Amino acid sequence: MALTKTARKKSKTAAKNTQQRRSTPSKSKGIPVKGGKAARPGKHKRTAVSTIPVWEQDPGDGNSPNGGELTMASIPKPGTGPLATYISNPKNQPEAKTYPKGTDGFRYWNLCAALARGSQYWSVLLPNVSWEVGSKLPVNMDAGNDFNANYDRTGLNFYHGTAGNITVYSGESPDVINHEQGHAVLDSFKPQLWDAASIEVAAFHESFGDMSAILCALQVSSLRSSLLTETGGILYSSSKLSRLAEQLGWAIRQIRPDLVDRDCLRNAVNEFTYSDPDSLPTRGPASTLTSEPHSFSRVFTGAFFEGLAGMFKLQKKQDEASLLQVSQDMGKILTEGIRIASVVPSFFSQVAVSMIHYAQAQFANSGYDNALKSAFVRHGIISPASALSALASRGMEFMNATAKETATSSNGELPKLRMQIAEYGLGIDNIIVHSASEPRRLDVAGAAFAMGSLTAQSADEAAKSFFEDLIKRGRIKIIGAESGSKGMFPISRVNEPQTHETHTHELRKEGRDFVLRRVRVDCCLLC
Amino acid sequence: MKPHIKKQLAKHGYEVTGAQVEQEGQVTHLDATKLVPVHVGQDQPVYVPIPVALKFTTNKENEIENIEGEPDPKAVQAAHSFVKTLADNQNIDGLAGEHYPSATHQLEVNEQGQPVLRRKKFTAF
Repeated sequence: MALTKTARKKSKTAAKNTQQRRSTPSKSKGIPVKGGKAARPGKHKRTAVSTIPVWEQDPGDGNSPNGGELTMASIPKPGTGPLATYISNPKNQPEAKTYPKGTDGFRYWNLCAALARGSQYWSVLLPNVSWEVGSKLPVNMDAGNDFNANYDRTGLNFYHGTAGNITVYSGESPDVINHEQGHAVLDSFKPQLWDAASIEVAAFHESFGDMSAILCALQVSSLRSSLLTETGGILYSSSKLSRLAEQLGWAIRQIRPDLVDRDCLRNAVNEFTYSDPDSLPTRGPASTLTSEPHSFSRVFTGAFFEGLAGMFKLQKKQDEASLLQVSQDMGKILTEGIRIASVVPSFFSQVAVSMIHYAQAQFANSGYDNALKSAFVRHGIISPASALSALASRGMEFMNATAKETATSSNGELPKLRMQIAEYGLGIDNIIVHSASEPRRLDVAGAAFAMGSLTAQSADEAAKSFFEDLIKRGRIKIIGAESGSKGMFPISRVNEPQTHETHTHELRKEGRDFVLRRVRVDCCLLC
Repeated sequence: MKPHIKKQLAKHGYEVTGAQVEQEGQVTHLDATKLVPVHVGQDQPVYVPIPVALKFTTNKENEIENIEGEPDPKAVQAAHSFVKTLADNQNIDGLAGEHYPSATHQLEVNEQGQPVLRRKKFTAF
């Protein structure tokens, strides 16, 4: 029976609707995601997918190649927007929809989402900046077999490798993606760093990659919330944020366990302090600091992360909204500090002082400058003296110590030494310390890195070194100084307990002099 | 910057890097790099470009005279350490004829036949 005109019209409309439904991605039914809703089976109105599940920061978790958290992200639009990126390989873009984990489709859109996250974050801080390669940055999702990734001034390249029975794709980790993207970002506004023949400059570039991974991860709301729960609000703790590239770290650990941390590729929470890279070995296990740029980068990254934690601690509300604001403020301070910094071998300290200057000027009364100063001093990137005077040079400036050595007194005290400390800006010109200056019995000394022995320190050098170390570690309390003294510079410890004191020494007014006295031995390894 | 000036500078071991050239009569100021030889245990050194503020004069025949532009000694020392670290970590592709495909740096031979250290890439690990 032939259809009537109305029936034909209805039939055509029904066919058109069916065609539209088939071409429009439907919501996922089966993938459990954090912060997302799985579509319920049964009758429901099909709507276009606007979000997809992606990794928060890495497919791995700690020492496991699996266990990373998923989150929902808006479907990105490759090749558009400021600091645009596009996938050069594979050439064909899969349909924008939800794919099961472990598929090329999932990896593709996860990569695009991580790139979009980074481009969105950095383009706000760096308006009118374009990639060194041009208006769009090409990205190769899988360039071959390797446990690595790179930026080579033509684009970003990611690889895959098999460890055990697991194939690991470096382009699946937002940490690795945003690390490589960070290299490209830094190259876009400080291109003169690219060829600089300096360990410190090369290490800073690597640190920037890790800082980029951390700051981009903090743009994910679900990560911020779960991070605060995981760390109890104490940001300077080993966490999924501080542990970078856990899955890639796991893969490398299967082959060379000594080359990476025990639960990630690198950890931004570390105790590495600055040494002249000339004095470091050129290679070594991950447990030691070497002049290899990835290894040495951990000094700056550690200071950055501690500074970030200190800045967050200053916020009135310790919530995820404040954490987001701090991440954006830190990005501004970091980029402007880099812009101002001179490209010299001692680049770490140049950037550090520039960041402090910028924080003082642009975030006045926020306390950010002190949080950054404390972190950079604790990691040895700037000395306390240069932190105070905000000088560009690094390294300790010895003052002339006037030694008034006396014989050991009858009460068994060590000889006393008068030590000049005006340069630390504590409001005190000199103090009395008990120096380790008894007669030497054995002519021995520690080993230097390259060859021979270290030159033994004199008693006054040792005392000065010890005093400065106490300042750097935030272990001195000043008692009895005039109120309102200017220049008092406490180095705060971001994880300082709030319930009891843990300083080990006090500067006490005894008569006319300030005397350094030990008050306790504190074994707090977490401070 | 005229090509024949660049060529003359290259013969003196300089590479022009800056786009801005300041001219004061016969005196030219510009940013450049000086190729500094660094030995890494091979017969031939590796040449490392180190930034300098270059100043030179030209005569009537447009020949360069009176070049001034020596790198900071600290930068030269840093370059030595940097090259040693790269070499020890097999990060110079082509050093001593060895091919290291994952290396971050490579050697490019310039017109003067000198192997110049150039960065290829930054890596995650």
